[in-house]
Amino acid sequence: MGKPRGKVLAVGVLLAGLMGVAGFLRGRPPEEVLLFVLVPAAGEGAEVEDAAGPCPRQSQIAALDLHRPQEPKQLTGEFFSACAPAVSYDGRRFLFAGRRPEAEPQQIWEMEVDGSGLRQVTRGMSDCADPCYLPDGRIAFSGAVPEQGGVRFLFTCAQDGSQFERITFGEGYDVKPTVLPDGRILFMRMSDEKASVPMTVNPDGTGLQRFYGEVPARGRILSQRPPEARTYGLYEFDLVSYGAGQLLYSDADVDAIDPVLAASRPRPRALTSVVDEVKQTGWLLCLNVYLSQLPEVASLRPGDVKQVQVAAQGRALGEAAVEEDGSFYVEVPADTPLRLRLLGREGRVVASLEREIWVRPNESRGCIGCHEDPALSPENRVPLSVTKPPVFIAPSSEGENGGYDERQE
Amino acid sequence: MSVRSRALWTGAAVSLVALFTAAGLAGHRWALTHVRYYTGAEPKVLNCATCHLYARGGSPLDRVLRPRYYTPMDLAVSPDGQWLYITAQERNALLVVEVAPGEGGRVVAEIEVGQRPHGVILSRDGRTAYVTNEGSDNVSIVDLESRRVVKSLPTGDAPAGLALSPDGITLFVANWFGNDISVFDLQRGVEVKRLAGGSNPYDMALSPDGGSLLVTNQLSYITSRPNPPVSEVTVLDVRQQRVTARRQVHNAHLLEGVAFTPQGDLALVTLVRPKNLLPAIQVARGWMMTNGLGVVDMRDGHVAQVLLDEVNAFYADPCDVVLTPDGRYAFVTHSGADCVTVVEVEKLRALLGDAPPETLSTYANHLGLSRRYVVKRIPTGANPKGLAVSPDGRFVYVAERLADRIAVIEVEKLEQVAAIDLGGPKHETVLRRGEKLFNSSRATFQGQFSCRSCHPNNHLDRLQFDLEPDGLGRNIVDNRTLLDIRETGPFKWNGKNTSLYMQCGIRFAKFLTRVEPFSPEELNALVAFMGSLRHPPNRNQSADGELTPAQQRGKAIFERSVDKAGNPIPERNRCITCHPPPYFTNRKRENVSSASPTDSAQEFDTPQLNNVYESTPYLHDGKALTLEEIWIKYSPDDTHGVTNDLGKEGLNNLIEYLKTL
Repeated sequence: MGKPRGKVLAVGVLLAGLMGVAGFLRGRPPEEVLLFVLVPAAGEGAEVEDAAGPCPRQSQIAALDLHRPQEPKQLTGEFFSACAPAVSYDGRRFLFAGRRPEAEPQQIWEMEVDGSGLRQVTRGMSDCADPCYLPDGRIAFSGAVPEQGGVRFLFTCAQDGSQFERITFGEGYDVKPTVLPDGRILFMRMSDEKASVPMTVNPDGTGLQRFYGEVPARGRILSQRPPEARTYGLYEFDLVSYGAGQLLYSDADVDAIDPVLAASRPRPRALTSVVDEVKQTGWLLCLNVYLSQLPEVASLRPGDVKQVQVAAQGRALGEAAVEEDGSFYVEVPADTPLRLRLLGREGRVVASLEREIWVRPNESRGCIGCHEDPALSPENRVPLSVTKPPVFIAPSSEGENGGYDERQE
Repeated sequence: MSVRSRALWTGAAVSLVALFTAAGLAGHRWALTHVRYYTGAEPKVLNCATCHLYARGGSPLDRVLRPRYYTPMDLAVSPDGQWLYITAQERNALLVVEVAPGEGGRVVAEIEVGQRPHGVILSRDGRTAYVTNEGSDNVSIVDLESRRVVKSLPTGDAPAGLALSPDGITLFVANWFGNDISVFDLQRGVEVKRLAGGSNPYDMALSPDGGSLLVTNQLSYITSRPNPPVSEVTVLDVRQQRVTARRQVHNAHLLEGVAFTPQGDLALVTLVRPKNLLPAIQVARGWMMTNGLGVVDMRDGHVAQVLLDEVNAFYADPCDVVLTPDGRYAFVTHSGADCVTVVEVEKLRALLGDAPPETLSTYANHLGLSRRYVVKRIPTGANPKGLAVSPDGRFVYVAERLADRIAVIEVEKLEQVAAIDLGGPKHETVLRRGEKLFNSSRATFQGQFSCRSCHPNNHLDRLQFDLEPDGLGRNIVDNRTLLDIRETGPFKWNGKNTSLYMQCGIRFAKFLTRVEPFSPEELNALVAFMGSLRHPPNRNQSADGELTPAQQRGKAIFERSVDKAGNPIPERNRCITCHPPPYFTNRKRENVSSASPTDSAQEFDTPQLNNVYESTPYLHDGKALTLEEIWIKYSPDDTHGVTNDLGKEGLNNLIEYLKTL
């Protein structure tokens, strides 16, 4: 899978827009430091390479004291490239992605905001990017998996780099994790074929769902290149014009991107985890497959769907009955990207769900419908499917493709 | 000192140190074992003070200071807008506050009323206040000129909401625990009628034309799985003093606040939509419960429901509602979320319009609609409860129950512009902190619910739940009361939690709240508060403690060792064996053949029986809707005590006695 760099930039700009343009003009605390990334100017018409994945070549993290305007202090001079600063909840430290010699993999590092106390967090053989602090003190980041063509997944680890754990298992390209005020991780999923999609997942990898709602505002500094400028500069966000206000920093030779204030902020309550790595399966409960925004499903009547087929990596793993009320309850292999298809009479495929899902070991995942209105909460009723034991879907099946392609839609 | 004596002293000192060290180590080991045995929790979370001080009612400082909070519950504004009258629950008082509109006010008098005052309303001329006292089962009639209680009217159990007829002659009182509504003729000073309410009638509102009275019922009708909860809004004809309709509100409970629009075409009712029939496998997306409003269409009686929650944020425990005199805004307190939601009524009316039933059904579960009619969230102090709007419609007053404060919201600005400090103690006791934690939704994912959401009035919600760790659709459990819980461990129906620390600890966070557990300090406070909860006085007991003849016969059955034929009853099958006083539980698991096919275990924790008449439904999974059903439906072979020889009258006697425990 090739890296969709254009989309990387688009995602970066989108997230910067979502997270950065906020109405927080409450006056500055006594001391405020702005961290940002300096990138050698790409030149007029060229796009700045965003930090989803490898940092831009020779990018550096710099700090700017907003009360004493002066030349920004470069904090990562010993690095070939460094980017994606993420500040701790107490505002004292920050994580970043950096590559010291050019030939080494990009790793996650941590440093005090004043540039002291540099330490390496991850020590892997492949590139790591986009770090962020989790509410429980752990760290999340996006990591490349070379053996899968450079596909990126989200990982977590302890602050010393131990307890390394993969938490996303899709077939996409998972980048830019950040923590929402409710403790979940918001990230972007990209693929070659489709536009990037904001997703959320719990820090233990459970509860994957497409993000729906408003991203809480976080910052008030904007990185922008006005039409007359050659490079990106840093600006206060202006509430009146809803765009760039007072200029904070610009340089004709470098782009200044990815600004983040080194300030304390409330730590969300950490989310608990039911994941049990000893187990190899999880459970999937869908309350009503007929609840859907897919036209081909919404037009169905109760009883039209007979079964749900569970597939992984192009192979059908098994099928389970869909009850009269539209519910089904299956036990499925954990940490495996799964695709679901609804089958009608004689096994005819009536709908394929385009996004893959997964369950973590011991997770019981609940779905309200199939691609239903994401603002719906569930109806209060006993699903018929839980009056029976779950249908066990084995991790592998007989045959070359398990019969996955035999039925035509 | 000789060398020998020095050696002796040294040896003695070394021996003493060794002895103390050994004793200390042994004591420490014993203490660890002791804590683990009695609490089931790791000692690193607990210390001696945890159980021996906090769990027994608070810190020594609290006991010395004995701070008396005001705990404002409800409030009313005088017709001229100059005075506020506030029920102060923990002072047994009605507070009189002189108001400086928009700037606050000050307490000028504290009128002693009955026990634990709840609701307050004023006569039209503003000269008289009527205060319900839920602890002393009466209404205090207060002359506001002399600031004295001039009469007390006995009511049913735990009076809460109340309303006055337009002519000021008839007073209606919702008897919260008595499930009925008292009707008083104030001219004669007597109760003239007792109308049947729904389930725990709570609050009431008079229609603008004075013809109808709506009564909210806090709990749903008694039911068990797979039936969803159904609650009632009771409609009364004021002139005829009779119930004219019982509007059912499906899949909802905790109906508390109620208010009419000025036109009288709609009434708004606060409610919670529980998801107790779903396996509790997640919290996200309102999987556990949602919080909203019922909209009663007075033309056809239909009750639509809409949510006050948002997609990724919940506003727990809506509990009171008022409308501005022009009908533009409705203000709703959320006692769990510590805020007031402002609803623009016309937008809500436009949304509901003539929507067909299937659309309304979707609205009731839709988290994305609130942005259309919710125009503001106004933060408040802890546990906001009662609301009142000034007659000119400029200000809304909020009783911040656990902050001992009244918030003043300016309607034009839709923001808090002042606060009235009632002057309560500033020292926060452990119990007070625990009560705040208990009532706050901050410790649940996205603030979806509080402890109180499932334990209203610190008791129970009468619902059954399917909790995840036991397997979906299996091991359904009925909710249990928290009253008198301190002495009745172990906890949970499977009896696995040996302490409240364990009950409210890590597994509680893991499987229910889905966010990090309470800190040790928070847990101390929460357990201290829960341990302080007591049942209200048993209303089936006579004042002198004497039992009626039927109750005496029931007591004999409860304690008997032979059946009617004179055959001995095995000791393990006698009522008194498993239900000994004072809490009428042996605190052990017993098998009374009550297990269902979906239960993994046959034995269940023996429940306490104090005030058992208030704890419907019964058995571990709530399948017995009445006390009678425990035996006539679920013990046909005398596996749950011996009752088959009793006959109907004998069983009635037994139940009459049980209700006095």
